[in-house]
Amino acid sequence: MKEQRIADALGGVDPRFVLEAAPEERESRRHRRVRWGALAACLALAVALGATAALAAGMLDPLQSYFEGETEFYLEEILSSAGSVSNGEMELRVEGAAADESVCYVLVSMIARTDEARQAWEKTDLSEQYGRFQVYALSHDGQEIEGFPWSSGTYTRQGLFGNLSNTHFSDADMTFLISCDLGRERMAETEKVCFGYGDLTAEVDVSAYRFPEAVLVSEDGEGELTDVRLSSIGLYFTAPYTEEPFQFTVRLIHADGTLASREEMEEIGLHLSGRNQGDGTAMPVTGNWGSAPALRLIDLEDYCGVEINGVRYLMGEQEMAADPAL
Amino acid sequence: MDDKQIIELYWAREKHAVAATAEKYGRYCHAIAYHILGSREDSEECVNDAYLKAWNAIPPQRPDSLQAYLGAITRNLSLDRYRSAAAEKRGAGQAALALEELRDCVPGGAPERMDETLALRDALNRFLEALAPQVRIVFLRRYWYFLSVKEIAASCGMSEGKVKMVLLRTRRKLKTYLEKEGISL
Repeated sequence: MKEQRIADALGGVDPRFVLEAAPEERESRRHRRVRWGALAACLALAVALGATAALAAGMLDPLQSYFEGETEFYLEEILSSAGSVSNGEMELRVEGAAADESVCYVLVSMIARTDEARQAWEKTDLSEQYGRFQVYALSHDGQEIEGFPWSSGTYTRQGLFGNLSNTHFSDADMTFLISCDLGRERMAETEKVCFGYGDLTAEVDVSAYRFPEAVLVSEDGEGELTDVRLSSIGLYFTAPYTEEPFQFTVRLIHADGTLASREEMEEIGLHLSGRNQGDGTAMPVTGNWGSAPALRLIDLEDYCGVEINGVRYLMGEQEMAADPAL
Repeated sequence: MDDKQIIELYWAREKHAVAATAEKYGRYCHAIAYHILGSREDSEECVNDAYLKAWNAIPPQRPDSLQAYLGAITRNLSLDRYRSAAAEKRGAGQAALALEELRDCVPGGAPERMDETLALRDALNRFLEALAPQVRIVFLRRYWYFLSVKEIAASCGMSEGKVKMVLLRTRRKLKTYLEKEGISL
């Protein structure tokens, strides 16, 4: 279409204009990292949680490059899936994972274990390394979950990739934060998410711990969104089908009923994705907290609901009581 | 690490170049993709594809501005993905709205040819050069970066109404300018 030709031609305009108009980048994440670094040092001195916590204190800072927010409260849950597989040359290490009833995020590193392996790794073309990764999910009876991965890209390979100093883990050669948006129905069937690289496969038991999702209902019962759920990882709801691009303005509601400010929401960050089912009736929307490439964890106890496009959706007492994790 | 050092890493075929790029411009590229696609997953894949495209293109290329170069790659890949996704009617970004607005400044005329595309790009450069800087920034934040009107208003210290007015006037000016230049699309 003609307007797309203009859009394409604009893509080739003088870089001076592009740089001049570049939106200013927020610095908040860098500030948070400094603060977390100090917190990690305090935790190392003050927290006594046994062997897991000792590991946790050492790993807190690099983990926070990928899992931001209330990480200290959830460290054990994130680390519960940590583990590794090795063939003596390369190691595929799961640094941690965070899952709720709809999605899971897994942090995976590759580590060369010998000089030869590192040389071979470094010689391998980046796109080849990239292409060797595979991901799939297994049900409780060991069957591969159908329909996942579902997209042409199959899964998200969030790269902070490269050699040694460029992953936030000092001993790793490459680290990925991989998001697996299985959806609640498939997630209920899923026991393990598996990551493979060549002959190495790491299985992550995502059924071991899942952040609870609180069910939200519209305050006046007239909200047009259904199946609204809030978790420490994200926000999920079903919107009426529309031909138009959707536009949702979301603000968290504090436990005392006050709305989170716009600045606070920018600090938290939220990414929404909607995919219509093709039946023209409804569109499930998935959101996660955080600013890419990091995932942010929020403490559900700090909030009682969300406001979406001006309509308040709140946790009912019934829903709270029904969830033992809350 | 400055851009020249990063570009040297590309020329030396050091994979470290991609990590350095991601570290310095990852958020910038992701913001561009996300504003077009409105999906974290799709944006991340586009940004990673942009890194790979840069890896394959440098050398032989040696961009003057790595930021603008990466931004343009990310924008192009994201628009391509947006167009294929549009067939499935998915996505929540600003691309659909912004593209619809751009129809305002499309003169009628002959079908596309490569020399016409280049002529259009050159005309756009001249048009942008002649705009007041603040107007140019508003225009490009909308149609290059695909920011929402609300975001532009907040980032430029204007009301949303003023941003809409600036965009409307600039689109009209662009249409008149392209017609005057004999650019047909």
